[in-house]
Amino acid sequence: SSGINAEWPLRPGVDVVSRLYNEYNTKTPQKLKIIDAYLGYIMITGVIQFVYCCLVGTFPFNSFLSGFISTVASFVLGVCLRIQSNPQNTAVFKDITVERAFADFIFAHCVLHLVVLNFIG
Amino acid sequence: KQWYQRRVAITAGDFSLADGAEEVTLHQVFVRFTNTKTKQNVFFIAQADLKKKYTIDLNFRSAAAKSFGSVGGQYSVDLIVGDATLPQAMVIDVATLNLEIPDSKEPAADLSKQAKPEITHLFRQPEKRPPQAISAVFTGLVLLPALVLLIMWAKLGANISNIQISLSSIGFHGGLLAIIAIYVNFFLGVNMFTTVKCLAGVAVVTFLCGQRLLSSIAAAKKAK
Repeated sequence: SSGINAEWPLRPGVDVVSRLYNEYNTKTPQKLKIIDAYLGYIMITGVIQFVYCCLVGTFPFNSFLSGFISTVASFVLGVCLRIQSNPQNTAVFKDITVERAFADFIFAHCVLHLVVLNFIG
Repeated sequence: KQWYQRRVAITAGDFSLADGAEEVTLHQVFVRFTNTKTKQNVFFIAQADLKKKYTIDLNFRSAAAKSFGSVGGQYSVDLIVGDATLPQAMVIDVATLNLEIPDSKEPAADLSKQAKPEITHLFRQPEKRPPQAISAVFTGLVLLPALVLLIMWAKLGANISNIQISLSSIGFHGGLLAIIAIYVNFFLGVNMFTTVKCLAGVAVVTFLCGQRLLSSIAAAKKAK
Protein backbone atom coordinates (compact mmCIF):
# COMPACT_ATOMS: atom_id res chain seq x y z
CA SER A 1 0.00 0.00 0.00
CA SER A 2 1.28 3.49 -0.76
CA GLY A 3 1.00 4.99 2.69
CA ILE A 4 -1.68 6.35 4.90
CA ASN A 5 -2.49 9.53 2.95
CA ALA A 6 -3.80 7.64 -0.03
CA GLU A 7 -6.28 5.77 2.11
CA TRP A 8 -7.37 8.63 4.31
CA PRO A 9 -10.06 8.88 5.74
CA LEU A 10 -10.43 5.29 6.99
CA ARG A 11 -13.91 3.98 7.46
CA PRO A 12 -13.94 2.89 11.08
CA GLY A 13 -14.20 -0.80 11.80
CA VAL A 14 -14.08 -2.42 8.40
CA ASP A 15 -11.08 -0.60 7.00
CA VAL A 16 -8.97 -0.93 10.12
CA VAL A 17 -9.60 -4.63 10.39
CA SER A 18 -8.97 -5.35 6.74
CA ARG A 19 -5.82 -3.23 6.79
CA LEU A 20 -4.60 -5.08 9.87
CA TYR A 21 -5.34 -8.42 8.25
CA ASN A 22 -3.51 -7.52 5.03
CA GLU A 23 -0.47 -6.22 6.84
CA TYR A 24 -0.38 -9.30 9.02
CA ASN A 25 -0.54 -11.61 6.04
CA THR A 26 2.14 -9.86 4.05
CA LYS A 27 4.60 -8.63 6.60
CA THR A 28 4.72 -11.40 9.18
CA PRO A 29 7.38 -14.01 8.61
CA GLN A 30 6.20 -17.57 8.15
CA LYS A 31 7.72 -18.81 11.39
CA LEU A 32 5.82 -16.25 13.42
CA LYS A 33 2.59 -17.21 11.70
CA ILE A 34 3.21 -20.80 12.68
CA ILE A 35 3.62 -19.75 16.29
CA ASP A 36 0.49 -17.63 16.03
CA ALA A 37 -1.53 -20.59 14.81
CA TYR A 38 -0.24 -22.55 17.81
CA LEU A 39 -1.23 -19.73 20.17
CA GLY A 40 -4.73 -19.63 18.71
CA TYR A 41 -5.05 -23.37 19.21
CA ILE A 42 -3.95 -23.11 22.84
CA MET A 43 -6.42 -20.32 23.50
CA ILE A 44 -9.37 -22.18 21.98
CA THR A 45 -8.51 -25.27 24.03
CA GLY A 46 -8.47 -23.15 27.18
CA VAL A 47 -11.83 -21.58 26.32
CA ILE A 48 -13.42 -24.98 25.74
CA GLN A 49 -12.17 -26.22 29.11
CA PHE A 50 -13.56 -23.16 30.80
CA VAL A 51 -16.96 -23.57 29.13
CA TYR A 52 -17.06 -27.20 30.25
CA CYS A 53 -16.31 -26.16 33.82
CA CYS A 54 -19.05 -23.52 33.71
CA LEU A 55 -21.52 -26.10 32.44
CA VAL A 56 -20.89 -29.03 34.75
CA GLY A 57 -19.41 -27.40 37.83
CA THR A 58 -16.00 -27.61 39.35
CA PHE A 59 -16.14 -30.96 41.06
CA PRO A 60 -12.61 -32.23 40.60
CA PHE A 61 -11.41 -28.71 41.00
CA ASN A 62 -7.76 -29.67 40.86
CA SER A 63 -8.29 -31.28 37.47
CA PHE A 64 -9.95 -28.19 36.05
CA LEU A 65 -7.30 -25.93 37.50
CA SER A 66 -4.43 -28.00 36.20
CA GLY A 67 -5.90 -28.25 32.71
CA PHE A 68 -6.77 -24.59 32.51
CA ILE A 69 -3.49 -23.39 33.93
CA SER A 70 -1.69 -25.69 31.53
CA THR A 71 -3.28 -23.84 28.63
CA VAL A 72 -2.57 -20.44 30.16
CA ALA A 73 1.07 -21.27 30.86
CA SER A 74 1.54 -22.80 27.42
CA PHE A 75 0.11 -19.63 25.92
CA VAL A 76 2.52 -17.50 27.92
CA LEU A 77 5.48 -19.65 26.90
CA GLY A 78 4.37 -19.46 23.28
CA VAL A 79 4.18 -15.69 23.49
CA CYS A 80 7.67 -15.58 24.96
CA LEU A 81 8.98 -17.73 22.14
CA ARG A 82 7.31 -15.48 19.57
CA ILE A 83 8.71 -12.33 21.12
CA GLN A 84 12.19 -13.74 21.32
CA SER A 85 12.20 -15.10 17.78
CA ASN A 86 10.81 -11.99 16.15
CA PRO A 87 13.61 -10.62 13.94
CA GLN A 88 12.39 -7.10 14.69
CA ASN A 89 13.31 -7.62 18.33
CA THR A 90 16.93 -8.68 17.96
CA ALA A 91 18.06 -5.35 19.36
CA VAL A 92 16.30 -6.08 22.63
CA PHE A 93 17.43 -9.70 22.91
CA LYS A 94 21.07 -9.35 21.99
CA ASP A 95 22.43 -12.51 23.53
CA ILE A 96 19.47 -14.77 23.04
CA THR A 97 19.39 -16.55 19.74
CA VAL A 98 16.24 -18.06 18.36
CA GLU A 99 17.63 -21.48 19.13
CA ARG A 100 18.20 -20.52 22.74
CA ALA A 101 14.65 -19.22 22.97
CA PHE A 102 13.39 -22.49 21.56
CA ALA A 103 15.47 -24.50 24.04
CA ASP A 104 14.03 -22.47 26.93
CA PHE A 105 10.57 -23.07 25.51
CA ILE A 106 11.07 -26.84 25.41
CA PHE A 107 12.58 -27.00 28.89
CA ALA A 108 9.84 -24.91 30.45
CA HIS A 109 7.24 -27.11 28.77
CA CYS A 110 8.82 -30.26 30.22
CA VAL A 111 8.65 -28.84 33.72
CA LEU A 112 5.13 -27.51 33.12
CA HIS A 113 3.75 -30.82 31.95
CA LEU A 114 5.31 -32.71 34.83
CA VAL A 115 3.68 -30.37 37.31
CA VAL A 116 0.35 -30.40 35.46
CA LEU A 117 0.25 -34.19 35.31
CA ASN A 118 1.01 -34.35 39.01
CA PHE A 119 -1.74 -31.91 39.88
CA ILE A 120 -4.38 -33.27 37.57
CA GLY A 121 -4.96 -36.17 39.94
CA LYS B 1 -30.83 -38.82 114.08
CA GLN B 2 -33.46 -36.80 112.31
CA TRP B 3 -32.95 -33.79 110.11
CA TYR B 4 -35.22 -30.83 110.50
CA GLN B 5 -36.82 -29.41 107.40
CA ARG B 6 -35.32 -26.07 107.81
CA ARG B 7 -32.13 -24.41 106.94
CA VAL B 8 -29.48 -26.26 108.81
CA ALA B 9 -25.85 -25.46 108.89
CA ILE B 10 -23.61 -27.84 110.67
CA THR B 11 -22.09 -25.00 112.63
CA ALA B 12 -23.55 -26.75 115.57
CA GLY B 13 -21.18 -29.44 114.77
CA ASP B 14 -18.51 -27.55 112.95
CA PHE B 15 -15.28 -29.30 112.94
CA SER B 16 -11.68 -28.46 112.65
CA LEU B 17 -8.79 -30.55 111.54
CA ALA B 18 -5.85 -30.79 113.85
CA ASP B 19 -2.32 -31.87 113.29
CA GLY B 20 -1.30 -32.71 116.78
CA ALA B 21 -2.40 -29.69 118.72
CA GLU B 22 -2.46 -27.21 115.83
CA GLU B 23 -5.48 -26.54 113.63
CA VAL B 24 -4.74 -26.90 109.92
CA THR B 25 -6.50 -26.27 106.64
CA LEU B 26 -6.19 -28.98 104.06
CA HIS B 27 -6.76 -29.08 100.30
CA GLN B 28 -9.65 -31.44 100.03
CA VAL B 29 -12.35 -31.76 102.68
CA PHE B 30 -15.58 -33.34 101.52
CA VAL B 31 -18.67 -34.57 103.29
CA ARG B 32 -20.22 -37.55 101.54
CA PHE B 33 -23.77 -38.79 101.97
CA THR B 34 -24.22 -42.36 100.75
CA ASN B 35 -27.64 -43.85 100.33
CA THR B 36 -27.32 -47.25 101.96
CA LYS B 37 -29.84 -48.85 99.57
CA THR B 38 -28.92 -47.43 96.18
CA LYS B 39 -25.32 -46.62 97.04
CA GLN B 40 -25.69 -43.20 95.44
CA ASN B 41 -23.27 -40.58 96.65
CA VAL B 42 -23.91 -36.92 97.26
CA PHE B 43 -20.86 -34.77 97.92
CA PHE B 44 -20.59 -31.45 99.66
CA ILE B 45 -17.42 -29.44 99.88
CA ALA B 46 -16.60 -28.14 103.32
CA GLN B 47 -15.25 -24.61 103.39
CA ALA B 48 -12.91 -23.31 106.06
CA ASP B 49 -13.42 -19.84 107.44
CA LEU B 50 -10.67 -17.63 108.74
CA LYS B 51 -10.67 -19.26 112.10
CA LYS B 52 -9.92 -22.59 110.42
CA LYS B 53 -13.34 -23.97 111.25
CA TYR B 54 -14.97 -26.07 108.53
CA THR B 55 -18.64 -25.91 107.76
CA ILE B 56 -20.87 -27.20 105.03
CA ASP B 57 -23.80 -25.02 104.20
CA LEU B 58 -26.72 -27.32 103.61
CA ASN B 59 -29.99 -25.63 102.77
CA PHE B 60 -31.98 -28.79 103.04
CA ARG B 61 -35.16 -27.64 101.37
CA SER B 62 -33.40 -26.89 98.05
CA ALA B 63 -30.76 -29.55 98.43
CA ALA B 64 -33.37 -32.25 98.92
CA ALA B 65 -34.53 -31.97 95.35
CA LYS B 66 -31.36 -30.78 93.72
CA SER B 67 -28.62 -32.82 95.30
CA PHE B 68 -30.42 -35.76 96.80
CA GLY B 69 -32.89 -36.22 93.96
CA SER B 70 -35.70 -36.33 96.51
CA VAL B 71 -34.73 -39.84 97.45
CA GLY B 72 -35.23 -40.34 101.15
CA GLY B 73 -34.00 -43.14 103.29
CA GLN B 74 -30.99 -44.05 105.27
CA TYR B 75 -27.76 -42.25 104.48
CA SER B 76 -24.34 -42.75 105.95
CA VAL B 77 -22.24 -39.64 106.31
CA ASP B 78 -18.50 -39.76 105.76
CA LEU B 79 -15.83 -37.13 106.02
CA ILE B 80 -13.18 -37.42 103.30
CA VAL B 81 -9.93 -35.60 103.87
CA GLY B 82 -7.09 -35.37 101.37
CA ASP B 83 -4.01 -33.24 100.96
CA ALA B 84 -0.61 -33.19 99.29
CA THR B 85 1.06 -33.53 102.63
CA LEU B 86 -0.97 -36.55 103.67
CA PRO B 87 0.48 -39.88 102.56
CA GLN B 88 -3.01 -41.26 102.13
CA ALA B 89 -6.51 -39.79 102.07
CA MET B 90 -8.65 -40.46 105.09
CA VAL B 91 -12.29 -41.48 105.05
CA ILE B 92 -13.88 -41.01 108.44
CA ASP B 93 -17.28 -42.40 109.14
CA VAL B 94 -19.20 -39.65 110.91
CA ALA B 95 -22.85 -40.60 111.20
CA THR B 96 -25.79 -42.51 109.79
CA LEU B 97 -28.92 -40.47 109.13
CA ASN B 98 -32.45 -41.18 108.16
CA LEU B 99 -33.64 -38.54 105.75
CA GLU B 100 -37.36 -37.99 105.51
CA ILE B 101 -38.20 -36.11 102.37
CA PRO B 102 -41.87 -35.08 101.95
CA ASP B 103 -42.27 -35.89 98.25
CA SER B 104 -39.93 -38.77 98.32
CA LYS B 105 -39.36 -40.34 94.91
CA GLU B 106 -38.10 -43.70 94.02
CA PRO B 107 -34.52 -43.54 92.88
CA ALA B 108 -34.39 -43.13 89.14
CA ALA B 109 -33.53 -46.23 87.19
CA ASP B 110 -29.90 -46.34 86.19
CA LEU B 111 -29.85 -46.38 82.41
CA SER B 112 -26.12 -46.09 82.05
CA LYS B 113 -25.53 -49.82 82.06
CA GLN B 114 -27.98 -50.68 79.31
CA ALA B 115 -27.26 -50.81 75.60
CA LYS B 116 -27.53 -47.54 73.74
CA PRO B 117 -29.49 -47.31 70.45
CA GLU B 118 -27.57 -48.59 67.47
CA ILE B 119 -25.98 -46.12 65.07
CA THR B 120 -25.53 -46.99 61.42
CA HIS B 121 -22.65 -45.16 59.82
CA LEU B 122 -23.59 -42.97 56.88
CA PHE B 123 -20.81 -43.18 54.36
CA ARG B 124 -19.97 -40.05 52.42
CA GLN B 125 -22.07 -39.80 49.29
CA PRO B 126 -19.96 -39.42 46.15
CA GLU B 127 -20.14 -36.03 44.50
CA LYS B 128 -22.47 -35.51 41.57
CA ARG B 129 -20.68 -36.06 38.29
CA PRO B 130 -21.85 -34.93 34.87
CA PRO B 131 -23.31 -37.60 32.60
CA GLN B 132 -20.80 -39.59 30.59
CA ALA B 133 -22.19 -38.30 27.29
CA ILE B 134 -21.38 -34.68 28.04
CA SER B 135 -17.90 -35.55 29.24
CA ALA B 136 -17.26 -37.57 26.09
CA VAL B 137 -18.51 -34.75 23.87
CA PHE B 138 -16.22 -32.26 25.55
CA THR B 139 -13.25 -34.59 25.41
CA GLY B 140 -13.74 -34.75 21.66
CA LEU B 141 -14.29 -31.02 21.50
CA VAL B 142 -11.04 -30.33 23.30
CA LEU B 143 -9.04 -32.54 20.95
CA LEU B 144 -10.60 -30.93 17.87
CA PRO B 145 -8.49 -27.76 17.89
CA ALA B 146 -5.38 -29.93 17.60
CA LEU B 147 -6.66 -31.14 14.22
CA VAL B 148 -7.41 -27.57 13.23
CA LEU B 149 -3.87 -26.64 14.22
CA LEU B 150 -2.36 -29.34 12.04
CA ILE B 151 -4.47 -28.20 9.09
CA MET B 152 -3.44 -24.57 9.61
CA TRP B 153 0.19 -25.51 9.88
CA ALA B 154 -0.07 -27.44 6.63
CA LYS B 155 -1.68 -24.41 5.01
CA LEU B 156 1.07 -22.15 6.27
CA GLY B 157 3.68 -24.44 4.87
CA ALA B 158 5.21 -25.66 8.08
CA ASN B 159 7.52 -28.52 7.29
CA ILE B 160 10.42 -30.49 8.66
CA SER B 161 12.44 -30.49 5.46
CA ASN B 162 15.38 -28.92 7.25
CA ILE B 163 15.93 -31.79 9.63
CA GLN B 164 19.41 -33.28 9.73
CA ILE B 165 19.84 -36.92 10.59
CA SER B 166 22.78 -36.56 12.95
CA LEU B 167 23.51 -38.23 16.28
CA SER B 168 22.53 -35.17 18.29
CA SER B 169 19.35 -34.84 16.29
CA ILE B 170 18.34 -38.42 16.96
CA GLY B 171 19.34 -38.05 20.61
CA PHE B 172 17.35 -34.84 21.05
CA HIS B 173 14.15 -35.92 19.37
CA GLY B 174 14.37 -39.41 20.83
CA GLY B 175 14.94 -37.91 24.24
CA LEU B 176 11.87 -35.71 23.91
CA LEU B 177 9.77 -38.71 22.88
CA ALA B 178 11.14 -40.64 25.86
CA ILE B 179 10.16 -37.79 28.17
CA ILE B 180 6.65 -37.84 26.76
CA ALA B 181 6.50 -41.60 27.31
CA ILE B 182 7.66 -41.17 30.91
CA TYR B 183 4.95 -38.57 31.47
CA VAL B 184 2.28 -40.86 30.01
CA ASN B 185 3.48 -43.58 32.36
CA PHE B 186 3.31 -41.14 35.24
CA PHE B 187 -0.24 -40.26 34.33
CA LEU B 188 -1.12 -43.95 34.23
CA GLY B 189 -0.05 -44.41 37.83
CA VAL B 190 3.70 -44.71 38.26
CA ASN B 191 4.65 -42.75 41.34
CA MET B 192 6.65 -39.55 41.33
CA PHE B 193 9.88 -41.04 42.67
CA THR B 194 10.31 -43.50 39.82
CA THR B 195 9.29 -40.85 37.33
CA VAL B 196 11.85 -38.36 38.52
CA LYS B 197 14.55 -41.02 38.61
CA CYS B 198 13.89 -42.02 34.98
CA LEU B 199 13.52 -38.41 34.04
CA ALA B 200 16.89 -37.43 35.48
CA GLY B 201 18.85 -39.69 33.16
CA VAL B 202 16.81 -38.91 30.06
CA ALA B 203 16.88 -35.19 30.81
CA VAL B 204 20.67 -35.10 30.90
CA VAL B 205 20.93 -36.93 27.56
CA THR B 206 18.25 -34.74 25.97
CA PHE B 207 19.87 -31.58 27.24
CA LEU B 208 23.30 -32.42 25.91
CA CYS B 209 22.02 -33.54 22.52
CA GLY B 210 19.72 -30.56 22.29
CA GLN B 211 22.49 -28.13 23.11
CA ARG B 212 24.74 -29.64 20.45
CA LEU B 213 21.98 -29.71 17.85
CA LEU B 214 20.75 -26.18 18.40
CA SER B 215 24.28 -24.78 18.51
CA SER B 216 25.04 -26.40 15.19
CA ILE B 217 21.84 -24.94 13.69
CA ALA B 218 22.73 -21.49 15.01
CA ALA B 219 26.26 -21.75 13.67
CA ALA B 220 24.97 -22.84 10.28
CA LYS B 221 22.60 -19.89 10.24
CA LYS B 222 25.33 -17.47 11.12
CA ALA B 223 27.58 -18.84 8.40
CA LYS B 224 24.87 -18.37 5.77
